[in-house]
Amino acid sequence: MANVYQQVKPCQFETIKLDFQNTTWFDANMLAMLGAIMESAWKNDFDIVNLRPAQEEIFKKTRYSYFGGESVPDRYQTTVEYRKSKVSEIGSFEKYLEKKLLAHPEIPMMSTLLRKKIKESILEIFDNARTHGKCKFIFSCGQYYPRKGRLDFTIVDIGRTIRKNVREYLHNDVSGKKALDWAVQKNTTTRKDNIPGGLGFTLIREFLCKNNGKIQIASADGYWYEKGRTSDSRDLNVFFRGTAVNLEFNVNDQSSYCLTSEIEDTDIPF
Amino acid sequence: MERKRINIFDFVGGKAAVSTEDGERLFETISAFLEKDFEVVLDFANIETLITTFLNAAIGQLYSKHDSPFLREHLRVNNLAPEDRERMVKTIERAKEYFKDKENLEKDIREAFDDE
Repeated sequence: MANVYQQVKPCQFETIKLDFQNTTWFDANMLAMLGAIMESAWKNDFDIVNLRPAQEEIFKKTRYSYFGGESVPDRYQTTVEYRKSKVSEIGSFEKYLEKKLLAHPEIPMMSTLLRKKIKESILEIFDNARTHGKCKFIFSCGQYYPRKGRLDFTIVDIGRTIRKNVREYLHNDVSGKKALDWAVQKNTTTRKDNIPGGLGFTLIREFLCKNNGKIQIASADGYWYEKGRTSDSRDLNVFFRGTAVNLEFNVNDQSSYCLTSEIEDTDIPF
Repeated sequence: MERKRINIFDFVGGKAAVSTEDGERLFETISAFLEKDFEVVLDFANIETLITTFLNAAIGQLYSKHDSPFLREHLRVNNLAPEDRERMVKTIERAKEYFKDKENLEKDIREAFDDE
């Protein structure tokens, strides 16, 4: 998808043809990325051609905006609706998660705590995009894989990249890979104001590790992923002016998520 | 000491305390009462979603103005969901670390990076 961005980037006042002739499968959650790319090239018109009927159905199941919100029923309920959110809309984004993702009829009954942790993780990423991406919109979409018991949810912004933020903070022209390696460390933050940062992402990693889930981040020319306790990063040979985060949750997780300590309200150590 | 109770559900207008803006607004409200030497009680009844972005702005930021002994004496929480208490504790720990020696922490992080 970053390759598509590269090709689209220099275009202005043109009609860009997105040809899906050789695309055999398109994960619904990748529509978040496609939406962001099309938004970044808003000075152009887009013409999506050669979509296979099954693919067009995926686009319409998610109410992808290219089709003007036209939708078809999602018989097997494997997609989570596409959404372009204003960054100020975290409240309605939370309601969208509740209605379109967590109340998804095909997703197995999850414990209250698991549902809560999934929602919190996504909201943390949303707010990170708002705070650090300094963007106008956030694009999201999801794909559920019933046989694997996996739910992929992608959040994309076309704002400041992680590399740009880290470079400014460290006064060091690090690569996209190095910037991500730094940014994902425990409790690091590029914030300089009086609001502490860095905790939210640490908690997401802890949760996904226990959930046996996965997180992938692509920003600028860097890529980083973590699955369980294994993580890796690399430099990409293409540049994406924004940040895409894919979260994969194991919805069959039977972990109890019991609390590690019994703290009372009165024990909060201010 | 006079007491001010803030109902978070009412304050954010719902069961989700998730936005930095709401957190900032709460920080300003708490600060105003603390400056008048009130005891502030934060009531989290019916709050079902609470994330660090809200807590960092509302609670973590208080450590930029006040120290722990002062906040222990002036701040209380009620009806926090058990699983959110851990999140609150971690937010507080992180804030203390963040402000304890902000300059040195940033310097250490940069140096650690330069060593690679």
